[in-house]
Amino acid sequence: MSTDDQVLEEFTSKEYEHGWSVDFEADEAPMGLNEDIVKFISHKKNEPEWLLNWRLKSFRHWSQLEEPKWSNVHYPKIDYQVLKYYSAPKKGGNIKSLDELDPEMIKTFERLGISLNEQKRLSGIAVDAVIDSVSVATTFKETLSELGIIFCSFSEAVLEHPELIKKYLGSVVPAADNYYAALNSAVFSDGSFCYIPKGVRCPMELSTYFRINAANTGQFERTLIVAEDDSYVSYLEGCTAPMRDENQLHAAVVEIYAAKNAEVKYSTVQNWYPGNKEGLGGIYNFVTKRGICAGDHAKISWTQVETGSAVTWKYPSCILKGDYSVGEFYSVAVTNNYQQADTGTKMIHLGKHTKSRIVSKGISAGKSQNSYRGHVNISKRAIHSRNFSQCDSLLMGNQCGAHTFPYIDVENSSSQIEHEATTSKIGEDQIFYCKQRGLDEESSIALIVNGFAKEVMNNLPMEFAVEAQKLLALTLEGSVG
Amino acid sequence: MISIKNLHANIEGKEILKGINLEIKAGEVHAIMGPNGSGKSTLASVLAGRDGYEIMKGSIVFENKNLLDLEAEERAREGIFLAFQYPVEIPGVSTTNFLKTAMNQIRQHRGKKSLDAVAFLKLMKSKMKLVEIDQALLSRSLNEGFSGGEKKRNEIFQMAMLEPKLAILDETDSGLDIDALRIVSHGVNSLKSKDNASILITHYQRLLDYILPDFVHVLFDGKIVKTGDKSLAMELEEKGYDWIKAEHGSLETI
Amino acid sequence: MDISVINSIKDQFNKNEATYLSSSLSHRKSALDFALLHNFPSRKNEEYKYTPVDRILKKKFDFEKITTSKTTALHFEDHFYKLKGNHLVFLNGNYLPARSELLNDVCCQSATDSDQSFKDVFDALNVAFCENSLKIEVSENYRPQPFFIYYFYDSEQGQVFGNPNTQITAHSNTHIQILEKTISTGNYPVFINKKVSVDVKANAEVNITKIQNYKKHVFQVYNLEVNQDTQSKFNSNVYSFEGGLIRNNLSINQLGEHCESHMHGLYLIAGQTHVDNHTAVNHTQPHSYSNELYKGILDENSRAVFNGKIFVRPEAQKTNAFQSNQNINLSDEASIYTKPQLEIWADDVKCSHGCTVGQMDEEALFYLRARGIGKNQAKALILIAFAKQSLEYIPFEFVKEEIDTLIRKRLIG
Repeated sequence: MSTDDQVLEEFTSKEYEHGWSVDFEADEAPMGLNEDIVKFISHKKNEPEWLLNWRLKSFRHWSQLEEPKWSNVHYPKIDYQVLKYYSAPKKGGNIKSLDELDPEMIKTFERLGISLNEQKRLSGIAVDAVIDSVSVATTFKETLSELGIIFCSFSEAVLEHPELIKKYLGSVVPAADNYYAALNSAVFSDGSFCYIPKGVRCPMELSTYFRINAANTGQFERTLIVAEDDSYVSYLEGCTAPMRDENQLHAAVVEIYAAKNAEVKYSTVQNWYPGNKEGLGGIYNFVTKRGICAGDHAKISWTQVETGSAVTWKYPSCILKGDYSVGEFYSVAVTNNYQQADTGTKMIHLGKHTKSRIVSKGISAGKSQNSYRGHVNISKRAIHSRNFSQCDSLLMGNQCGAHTFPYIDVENSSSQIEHEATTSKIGEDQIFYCKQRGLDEESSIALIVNGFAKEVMNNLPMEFAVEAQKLLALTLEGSVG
Repeated sequence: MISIKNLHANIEGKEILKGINLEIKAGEVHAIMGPNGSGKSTLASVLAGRDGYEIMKGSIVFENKNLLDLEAEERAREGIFLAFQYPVEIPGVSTTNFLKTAMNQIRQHRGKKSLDAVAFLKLMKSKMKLVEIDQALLSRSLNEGFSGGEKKRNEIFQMAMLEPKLAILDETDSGLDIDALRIVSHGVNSLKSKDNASILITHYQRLLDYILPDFVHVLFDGKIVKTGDKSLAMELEEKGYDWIKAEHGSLETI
Repeated sequence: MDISVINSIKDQFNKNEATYLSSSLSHRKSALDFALLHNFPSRKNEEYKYTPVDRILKKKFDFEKITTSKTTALHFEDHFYKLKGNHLVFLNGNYLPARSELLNDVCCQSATDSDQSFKDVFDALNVAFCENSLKIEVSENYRPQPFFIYYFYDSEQGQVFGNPNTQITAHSNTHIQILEKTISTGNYPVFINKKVSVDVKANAEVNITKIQNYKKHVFQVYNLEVNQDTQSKFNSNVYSFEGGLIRNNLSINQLGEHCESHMHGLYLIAGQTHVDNHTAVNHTQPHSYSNELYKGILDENSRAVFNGKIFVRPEAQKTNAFQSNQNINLSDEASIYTKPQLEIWADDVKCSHGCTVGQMDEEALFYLRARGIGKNQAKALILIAFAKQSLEYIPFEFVKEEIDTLIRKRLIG
């Protein structure tokens, strides 16, 4: 057997580490989706009238839309009526201290390597933990609130800070934006809310950890981050889900609002269950993420390491409205076995002297399909703007595919755009060179792949860069975990 | 240290090595010379364990182990080092990072503990001087954008760090100017000890002015046809390879 | 399609029916039916997102007012290049063998029927309406003189709807060079629905150069389809300067091993000119190569669209495919929409694409001015140098000169 075949064989041997599930007592909505379910969800959360109306409007809009078919992914039609749209662990949410938390739940998070114990200040990262659709705990809340920073679950924010939610919800991703955004706007259950007041630099990384646990539920989080003038926050999102034979739907919306001189760094390490070696099961990850650089000199930076999901459809985007604003997108997307990813970014330049930078690294293995879809739009008014895009694909084996679809629209004469894409494979010579220096096959590939993805990895907050590197190597060993 | 007996090797169905016999003891420097197409690089690749070659007959015993049973990385961990003729580029991976990973795997294999960052850097600094290589070069992506001389010096630097038992230098002198040749040779000479050995594969005798061989072998048409000392190399320099070809029949065109 | 357009097209067909070969009628009628069931592409069609043909035609062309005149005051020979070769004439989309001058012993027939299949509205209309198509067949091992194909359009009497059709077969070991040029007279709008298909057999080489310098009222959709066999070479060079609409669809199918394809293009546009280059190369077998370079300079209210697709199928190992699109935008009113596209299923390949949009190189500009060259002249020099790079691959010296003149005229005035 040739080296390549041997290597590929090894790839499909390990298993998804996080495939276990736990039996919590859960509070669930009946199956199906209609206006009653929407009201059920809103009622469960004690939401004010205006929010219920917002949901209903979104639902009505969704009912009239058709699921988009233009992406390069194929999956059996989703029957939206056989999913449950609300499932909350009974002992969770609205807790005052960690003691109240279901011990099973604490164990869950420890198993995932997430520390909910504030006493363990080793990592110094504030965590908002969300199981299924409900935020179960948020750490360091008091410390942060002393600085005026609000970091809590979305549901809590609706009750405690309704004026902020009302002002910003839907301002970056309106409900009518697309099919999944509309769905999310109708049935979103929880997520995180983060508000950084003027001039404040958030002293610690903020992080949300999502975990889908219950079967047959869709996960619809809604995250909203608002950074006022001159503020800074770095935010990390991580996710896992148990192994199940059926596909599970995850349709999230993340909105970021950056005011003048504000900077928001949003990093994602996505590790949803990708389906088994035969392509059975796995998460459908359809996400709308968008940030608006509303003020001059604002900066939003998206960094993502995508290794999971059976089907991924996500385009974290930046609307560069303020003059001199900056949008960045760094991504490593790995697909193996039967995974399909259609991911990329949109950079919409509206303001003058705006800059965007896109670095996308795709790694395809097995029988997977990995597509980059990007849109750089330089509008007429966005004079003196610049964009640089680099999309590289690494193919492992000849049963997978790597595709790039970059759209570039330029409507003025003073802007500079550069786009480059390359496709390559790991050379036998490179592997032999590493082996001759004592590295075994797996280590050689891990080294080369990490070198390939380095530029993106360097943009992750240090604590997560190491995790992400390990994840990358493990993914390519056939597991995702 | 290494004993090669009647080695026959094919690539893509064609026989390149037609019965190599070679004995190398610790502390020795052997030079292998020969015209293009004689099988020099094949011999180096076969010793290092590169895929794609079929061993038809013969054996290679290295330190009492059957080398042909071992994978390339296992041979490296046993102490075989190949300084490549054309070192490959690996973007995004710095020499430092690469070596640290390799070293620690080799150490693990030998039952030693991995080096931490501080110890590793210290070791690096001491070896860097040997081949006059600087820190900046080592933090760049492996061999990316390096000149020919820089690539070869990097190979010898790696050799200094990994401390192999048997070093195979595949045309290390090709493409080097006098200064680079001097630096590389100095490095190789400094690493010589009574416990290790090296095989210098070269086309020209020039390298042998700097690195003195104990034995010189002439490889022709897949076999070692003559063995001597440095004076044999001088003879080749004067007369070329034609007289060898005449003695042993002309080389098949490949 | 709009009912009025459908009726006008039907009318037009009926008027022409008598001129068509009776054996071809039923096939033409099926083509017509097919065409009328479909629409001209609109913005909703991904491939025509920035070039909505339906809207453009609706505004600028009236199918009701198509002229029936078959005569022309044009003297074709006056426009022939003074060079040894085969000069072939089309008038309003029909091949006129009587007015053409064949030099070589090649099979150069006109065909009044068609067994072509049709895959979209343009294909179908072309099959239905093309009265006389041109079939060039060069037998094995033959090296003919170059082919100069002149497409004349006379819209003095009324609007012209031309559907020229050319089929080229290059048998093994042949080497064919083709130059295509369009000459139009008259002020009524002209809509050209052009189809050229090329079959490059093993070890053959075909080189097509196209000069597109039309008037504002000329609208063209040009479908060029190429099939390549083992070890063949195909080169396409297209130079676009002016036109109401110039939409070039180039599709290359590499069906054998060791195929080589080169695509070069230059668009130097101003006014309201709209140029859209859509190319697709399909690598299906191992050891194939493709190289694409399209450059553009836009001024005033012009619009350029570029989409280059490279497909590398799973069996096409050891393929090398390179693509580059470079644009310079001189006006805030001009727009560029570019989408280089890669779809790769084989892993042992080298593929890359790149595109840039920007202004002139400021450093170069300053360097020239620092040596005493005036600003405008310096700009012109840089732009000319930028444009001329794509001339390298034209096999005809005189054509290089002709295009050089056109470039200078546009950039210096």
